[in-house]
Amino acid sequence: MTQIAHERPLAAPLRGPAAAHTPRSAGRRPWVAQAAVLLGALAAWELLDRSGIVSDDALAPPAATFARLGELLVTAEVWTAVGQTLTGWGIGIAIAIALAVPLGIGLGLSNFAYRSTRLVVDFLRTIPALGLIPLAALVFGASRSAVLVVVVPACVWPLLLQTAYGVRDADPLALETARSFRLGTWGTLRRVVLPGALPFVATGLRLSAILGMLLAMSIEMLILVPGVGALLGTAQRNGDTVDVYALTLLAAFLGLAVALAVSRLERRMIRWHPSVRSRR
Amino acid sequence: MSARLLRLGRHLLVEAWLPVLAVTVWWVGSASSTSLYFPPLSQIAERFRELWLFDQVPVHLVPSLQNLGWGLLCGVAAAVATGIVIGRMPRLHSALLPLMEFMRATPILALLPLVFGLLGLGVTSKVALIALGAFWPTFLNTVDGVRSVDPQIREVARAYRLTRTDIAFRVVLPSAMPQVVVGFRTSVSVAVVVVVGSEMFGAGNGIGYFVLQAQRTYAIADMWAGIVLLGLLGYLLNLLSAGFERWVLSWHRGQRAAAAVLGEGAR
Amino acid sequence: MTMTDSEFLQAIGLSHSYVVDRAARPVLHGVDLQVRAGEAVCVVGHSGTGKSTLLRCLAGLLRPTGGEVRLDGRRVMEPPPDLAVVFQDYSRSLMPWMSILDNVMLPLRRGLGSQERRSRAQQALADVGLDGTGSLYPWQVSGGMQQRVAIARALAYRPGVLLMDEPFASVDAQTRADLEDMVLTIRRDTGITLVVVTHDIDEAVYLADRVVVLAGTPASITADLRVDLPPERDQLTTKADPRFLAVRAEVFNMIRTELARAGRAT
Repeated sequence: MTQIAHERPLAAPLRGPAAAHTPRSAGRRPWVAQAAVLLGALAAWELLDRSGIVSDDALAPPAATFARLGELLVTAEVWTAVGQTLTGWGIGIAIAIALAVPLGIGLGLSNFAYRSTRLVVDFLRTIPALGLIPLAALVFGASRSAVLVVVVPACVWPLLLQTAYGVRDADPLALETARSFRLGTWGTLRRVVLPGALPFVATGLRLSAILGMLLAMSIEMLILVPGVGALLGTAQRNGDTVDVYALTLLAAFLGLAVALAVSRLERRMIRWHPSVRSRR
Repeated sequence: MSARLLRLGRHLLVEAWLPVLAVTVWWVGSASSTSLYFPPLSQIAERFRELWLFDQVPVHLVPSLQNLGWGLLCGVAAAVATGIVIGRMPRLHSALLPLMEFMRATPILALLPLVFGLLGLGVTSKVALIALGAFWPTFLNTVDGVRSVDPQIREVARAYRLTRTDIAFRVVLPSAMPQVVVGFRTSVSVAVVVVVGSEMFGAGNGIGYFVLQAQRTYAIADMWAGIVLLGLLGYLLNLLSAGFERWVLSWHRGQRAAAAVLGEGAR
Repeated sequence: MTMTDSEFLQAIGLSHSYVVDRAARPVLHGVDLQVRAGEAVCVVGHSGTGKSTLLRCLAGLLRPTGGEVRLDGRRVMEPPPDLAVVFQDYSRSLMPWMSILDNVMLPLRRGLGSQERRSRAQQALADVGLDGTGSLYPWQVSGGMQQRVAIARALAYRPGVLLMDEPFASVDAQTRADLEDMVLTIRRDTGITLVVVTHDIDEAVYLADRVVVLAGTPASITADLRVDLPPERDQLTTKADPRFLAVRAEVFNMIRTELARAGRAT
């Protein structure tokens, strides 16, 4: 599901939805088995529904769920909601990048700054993100600003820490090379330190983006800010089981799309890195 | 001796000046605050003492911690067990891949309505959802760790005819442990978020319920006291899980330090 | 275990091919090798000839694609209980999360009882000169000591056959000489059957009763030489002994001719 910031650097660009899980020793045609597993999961759902163990109020049949999802996907309302969720999420991530990357570079370059801020950063980043929801609801009501108040602080940390680690991780050999070429402070930063930190930043970006989507939908659901989360929250309050299932699927697909998009972006950002090259 | 004390003192000074300054600024800056949303810190501290030392602890904090504990225990235990099995079966792993990618990309709290519908508005739902949230990070890391066990180590295990149990618990699991623990620590932070979210969505107690309820009834100092408690809780849990990592992986740090001193390979 | 007929451990018409890019690449072809109980045989050949592949087949770690391996008359399909292996890369063959003593105890059957397992492991550590290091971790001791631990692990297992794959290739020269002498002592004391794979001709002749040369692509055994030296050996006097030098020269020439022939063929 989601990965939240770590205390220590994630070994740059490893664990991604698509990155680390390339099946190497799998059979020649893995998709046959993969399709079978997906069909099996659907069949299990169908069987559970027919068995009557779970009441109809609690479990929607798969056929009806997918049918409803199909109906929903042709309504303007749903696409508006998807747009609202993505907009809130996108603005949140953009602000987080604008704050975290420069700060992270600063913390990475100055040992004093790094050590001085360690306790504060450690404390702030471990506050459970959703704890700020009441504050957000109080100050901003059910608006996009409320989403941002929760998403931005939560998404700053993975990016900030990864950037700082990346900058601190600069290869001493590369730094000496830069000095021997007399690149100067700015040149060294721009040509050596920052490119070296990029894989770390990319990983931080992926973690933040996925975390941001989780939080954005949660806030929408909990305080009914317009978006996919609010549709889901409303469906639950109305007791419309089929809607709940269809919208949960929609949320899942949206989450999957974001996860795939950011890990693709991550791989593009670090195309030159050995961990990506070797997978070609 | 005194040099060491001096170093320790400097260390504390460098690390602590900013937190102390931040709290002081908040305290002084908010002292005469009349804002509805941002009450004086002294008032928050007062409410914090009244609520959490220890009047409301059994009502709100204990249930939250219980759910957190059970959810983490179930989720992480299931994750390690299935992770070891699936990590050792590349074909099964590849077959399950799309389903797993789909399930773990689902924003976990979006499952709240579905799980509450399925399992009712009680403790079971919350624990199930916390367990599910805690499952993925540990599971994926365990699978990765198991898949990257050194082939030479596997060969030693085969050559000496170790039993399946010994291979699982004395070879594969310890070898994967560094990654398992990284996953575990992520699981802890996810679990805390799910605890708070599930209590805000549908519950009659718990710290998440308390903060949201305080906000709805405009008991603003109470809300702030709750947020401060959540922050302390998150920080403490992080310290605990860091300590756990240190304890479990003492061999790993030692080995890496030794490798760094010796350089690569043989001495 | 102490049967004296000539076929204690044998490879019969052994062949092995790896599949590389969907094409079979043969490594071994028609390897015949007989090792008597209690004998010490060294397999030499230049790197890449398939020495390790042969050793893995003998150990039952690799199923040969042709022919068979027999130990004490029984066909080897998986690692047999009476056999232990010491691998080249000690840093990867010991478990870094276990103490040295636990590493040595790891393969000992639980049926033995913990007291017996512990005393056996401690005895084995004493035999390789590692008294009192049991509570350390492998990565806290030098490379040569780590390889001693790997050997102690094999000895505690009390196998009839000990296979060693380039056991001393990753340690420095002095340690290497010490370890060679230690293996000779162990062999004299236990009467263990020993098969050592190495690229070092001096080492092969020094350790072995017989030296077999593995050469060609795919490789087979091109020479089988008896080392006519007394069992008591010494790094200085043995290596200066004319009989040692004679065998050494013979093996050296053999490998050089093979290499030259291979060079002409390609």
